[in-house]
Amino acid sequence: MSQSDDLSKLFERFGGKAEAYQEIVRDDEAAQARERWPLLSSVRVDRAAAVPPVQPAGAPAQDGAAAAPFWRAPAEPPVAAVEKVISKPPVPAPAAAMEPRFRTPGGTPPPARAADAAPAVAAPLQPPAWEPPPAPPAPLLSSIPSIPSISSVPFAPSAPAASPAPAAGTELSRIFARLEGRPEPAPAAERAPGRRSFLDRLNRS
Amino acid sequence: MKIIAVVSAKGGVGKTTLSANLAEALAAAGERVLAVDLDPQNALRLHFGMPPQEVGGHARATLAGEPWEPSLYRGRSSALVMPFGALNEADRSAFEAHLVTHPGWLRAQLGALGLGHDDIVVIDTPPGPSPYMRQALSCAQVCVMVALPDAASYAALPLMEDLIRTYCEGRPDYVGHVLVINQVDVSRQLGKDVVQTLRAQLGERVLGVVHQDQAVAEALAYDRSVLEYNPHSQATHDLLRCADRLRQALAAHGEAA
Amino acid sequence: MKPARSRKTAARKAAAAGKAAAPAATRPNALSAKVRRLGLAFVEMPLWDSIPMRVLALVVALCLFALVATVPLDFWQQVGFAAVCFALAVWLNRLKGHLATLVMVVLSVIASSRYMYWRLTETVGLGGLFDAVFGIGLVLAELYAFTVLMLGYFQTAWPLQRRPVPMPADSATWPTVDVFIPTYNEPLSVVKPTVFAAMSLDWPRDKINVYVLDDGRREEFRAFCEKVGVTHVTRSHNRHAKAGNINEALKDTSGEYVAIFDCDHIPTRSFLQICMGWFLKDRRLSMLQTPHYFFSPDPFEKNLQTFQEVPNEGELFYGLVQDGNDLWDATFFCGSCAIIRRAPLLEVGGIAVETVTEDAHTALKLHRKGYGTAYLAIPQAAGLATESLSGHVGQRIRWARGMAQICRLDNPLLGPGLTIWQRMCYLNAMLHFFYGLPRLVFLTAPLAYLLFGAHVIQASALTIATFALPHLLHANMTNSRVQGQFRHSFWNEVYESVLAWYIMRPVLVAFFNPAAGKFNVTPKGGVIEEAYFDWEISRPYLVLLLLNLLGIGVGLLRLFLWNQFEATTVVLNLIWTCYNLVILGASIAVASETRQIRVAHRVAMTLPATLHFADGRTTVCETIDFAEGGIGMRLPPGVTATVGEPVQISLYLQDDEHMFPAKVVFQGESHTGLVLGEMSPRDEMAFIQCTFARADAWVGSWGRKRLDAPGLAAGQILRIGMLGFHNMMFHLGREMRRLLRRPEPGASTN
Repeated sequence: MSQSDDLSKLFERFGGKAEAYQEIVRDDEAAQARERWPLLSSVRVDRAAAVPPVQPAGAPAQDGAAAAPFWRAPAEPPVAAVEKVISKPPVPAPAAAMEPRFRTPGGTPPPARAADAAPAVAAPLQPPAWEPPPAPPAPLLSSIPSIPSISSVPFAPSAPAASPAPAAGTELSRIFARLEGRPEPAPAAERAPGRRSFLDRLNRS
Repeated sequence: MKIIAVVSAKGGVGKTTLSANLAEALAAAGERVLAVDLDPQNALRLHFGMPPQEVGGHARATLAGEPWEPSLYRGRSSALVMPFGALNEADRSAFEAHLVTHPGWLRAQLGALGLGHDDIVVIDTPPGPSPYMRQALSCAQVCVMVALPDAASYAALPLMEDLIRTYCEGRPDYVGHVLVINQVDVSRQLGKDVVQTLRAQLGERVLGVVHQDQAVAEALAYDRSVLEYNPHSQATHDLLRCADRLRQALAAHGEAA
Repeated sequence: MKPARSRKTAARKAAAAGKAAAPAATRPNALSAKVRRLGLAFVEMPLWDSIPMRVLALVVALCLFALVATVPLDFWQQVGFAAVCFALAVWLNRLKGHLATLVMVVLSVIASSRYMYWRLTETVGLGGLFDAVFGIGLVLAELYAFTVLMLGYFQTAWPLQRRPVPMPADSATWPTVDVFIPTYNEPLSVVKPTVFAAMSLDWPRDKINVYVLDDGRREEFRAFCEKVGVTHVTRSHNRHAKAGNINEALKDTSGEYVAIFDCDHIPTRSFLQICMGWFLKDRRLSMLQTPHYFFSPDPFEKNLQTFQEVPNEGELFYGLVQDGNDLWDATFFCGSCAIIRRAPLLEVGGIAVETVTEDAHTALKLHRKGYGTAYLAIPQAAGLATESLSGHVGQRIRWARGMAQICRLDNPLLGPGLTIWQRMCYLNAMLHFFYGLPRLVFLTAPLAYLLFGAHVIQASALTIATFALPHLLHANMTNSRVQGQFRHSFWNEVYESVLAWYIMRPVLVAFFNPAAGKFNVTPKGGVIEEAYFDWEISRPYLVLLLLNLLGIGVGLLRLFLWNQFEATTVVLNLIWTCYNLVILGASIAVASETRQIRVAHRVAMTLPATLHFADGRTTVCETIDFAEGGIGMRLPPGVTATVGEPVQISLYLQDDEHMFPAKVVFQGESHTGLVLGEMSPRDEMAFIQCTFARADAWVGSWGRKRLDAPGLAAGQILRIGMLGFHNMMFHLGREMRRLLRRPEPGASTN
């Protein structure tokens, strides 16, 4: 029960289920909060850092379950790699999510581009880091009736394909991405326009 | 008895203060609470008003082969404290070696105290992997991770999850782990975003946030708990809510078991 | 005998409704439950499945009804009959549930029908000229009141009480919505919260567009819209005011649905997810309306200080009447806080421009095309009530005029496309606005006798009492039960009296000449500088008041000197006149406008909050009310703030916390006042999300005012009547002093 729950009172009085309600704006804001800081977007805290065992020097490389080469997409984002970006200032909202307006899918250029951009971005292998973990550690409250437990699936971006599009990039993040074999974040212009443009606008003002 | 281990992978997150305040809050709610300090810094007892110059504690008792009871300290609060005790370097190494060779040491010692079924034990641990944390995790029912709303704490959480997974999961009496975000100040964008991201990823596993409040620090300097020092501070309310949720979780688990 | 017949008639109504709405039983009550079970068992008998049986039952019921309404009874028989009916109604009133309500309605209909029948057949005489003229005038007025009463029962006895339909889980299937915010000359500060709230609607971001339709073509608005990222829409002309504005915007937008909000109606974040479900469920649905909730008091509430205690004038409409309309698929569009499906809207040519109530007319056109409309009695948007009494009156005049125009230009009783039930609902809506003349007749009727000695009712006073009293008592009691949550007893009289004079002429003019009269915009958000008495608006009431006082005077003379043989008649007329005086006093009280100290309106809202002091301390607290740029807080006992110190205030929405800079400007005993600092648009939006756009912002007080208690209401109106007299005398005195002082040189200004 959160400190200030406005939905339960509404649904209690007029019928309906709070669980069916989709917190679109708040989820969007949370996603934006995350993408503002490269460290936050590249580390997931809801599962353990599976650290591969150390191989003695000279031993033949084991199968894929063992340490993957540094330059291939690892099973988990290497924690060390992202520590360097801790000190980076936050990524400014991309200059050209300058789509000044939403466009409805009715057919003005941006949606077309979003449609292009989304498959193009979604197609390359998404780093597993963006997928919901297979079996998260037993959440404290999932078996406990008194405290409502939402599903333990961690935050999944609400819009379907577009979100794993890497945060539109600074030089540095593109370099890291290339090193790790992840799809490079496209230069800002291809960011799915329209999405969260209200908030972008406000953040920039 | 119900054992709560307060842990963090990173230091400086305010674990000891939080442990003390949580214990106080649980006691204020009517629970019988024992706070155990597994941190060689031996700071937990100061929150309960124990005179700093006293050296007694469970570490000394263990090394001396004595029972724990005489080292218990009861201050103004209704919660009991088991301090770590002051140890010199040689004794500390010996103590840690003892912990490594006796993985069930803490469980056995707590069992020997004769605590009731509904009594709560709050264990404060030093940050990062250590024999102390391993002991605490091996017998805890609930792990309360503590983090600050900053990038360093955030990045260190996966390590903590790893430790918990290693030592806690699979145990039948393990209930789960939760996170408390300490010293929260959302006037800073980074702090606000970290809190939001943590909530988004962990959902119900965030037990609560404790606001940054000068009253917390002042309370210690006044030899008081923040609950007494400033009952209207937001930090106090946050702590009470966290304690409440913990109690509910423990009670529900107790019924289900 | 009687209960069986009543149940049959109830069953007829229930069957005719064709919808098995669950009875509105609240607290379990053994007898109520038994009665309900009996009623349900009766209604669910397979007997009623066959149409001939239902028709037969209807015919039998109507015959019985006609018999009861018309059978002549002598004095004592009438008294006995009335007493039994009334006792039955009183007993039924103690039961909960729908069946009891319907039976009470039937009893009231019987009492009123008997009265009307007797009135029409036995008491209309064509004696002298005076008698005839006044007599017929009164009968017509009473006939009007009777019709409105009957239609009112029809409309409100069974509100549909629709529940929201949840949206499908996959938001990719949700339709696109354009949010229109038309504005003309309102200040930006009034429109900003609405824009921010519209941007905070919980709807997929790629499926929602917010448009500010600015008929004032203001640069300030354009700059604001560009800054925050919504579309600023203008047109080159202002034809047809708001309707034209919307129609132009329809041409340049393409969302499947259009949500319309007046520029001061702030939607909650859940508005779309609550409302849109019905459109997906019902393909023929073209419009869904929600209540206009006011977070500031209207002139009645302000001047009589009944805000949040007595339901305001609009609550009957939004709480009950529209809900009743919904049962018959006759909800009409109210211009704001609604969603319209684009295709049907375009099919009827956009928002109607032929009348000044473009909203109701649009709904009529949609109904004619066979589309459905719906109503959700859930407050999901709130705005400012009309500021001053003159603004309030102006708005009602516009509605009245518009309705009369619709009556003339597109009469719902004629023409294709509407069901009989829809026609009756529209008829009731239109008839409602003709209350001006009948109300004036009622306010002056007893004077016909007292001043002129005219006998307008050809019957003895006692006989009148035996028919009229049951009629009035049943109507009062039944209406209190049906409407009590949304309209307190006797307040109807006050609302109608205040507006009667002003409504009358425009309605008659519009009825006879629909093209006359122009659209006048309702002003919102102004300041009233000092307490003043609106002499101009009150003039008609003052005249009526004087007439009634004169009537009392003459009446007393008649009582003691001239007409002692007709003492009961005189007394009855005097009582009626006193009643009118109280009502007029209350109307005058409304006209005495109070001083409005702050420009911004304070909206009461209690929310948990945290106050952060500059020295690092925090304290839990709660909000009391909000105004533009300011917050009233309640701090815990023993905690105080220093005036002038900078602080930060945290507000919460679900688990999210938002902090805002502020400064303490007031510290009282139990109340601390903050003024908010400069906020970025991002913060302003967060502020709106934490406050006015909360899903439950208006849920707490909707329909939750004190329940109607006729005795209390009567006492309250009496007190207000006295207050009205007092205010009038006070202001009169002030005016006279001002007049007297003026000729003197060097006089001090008042």
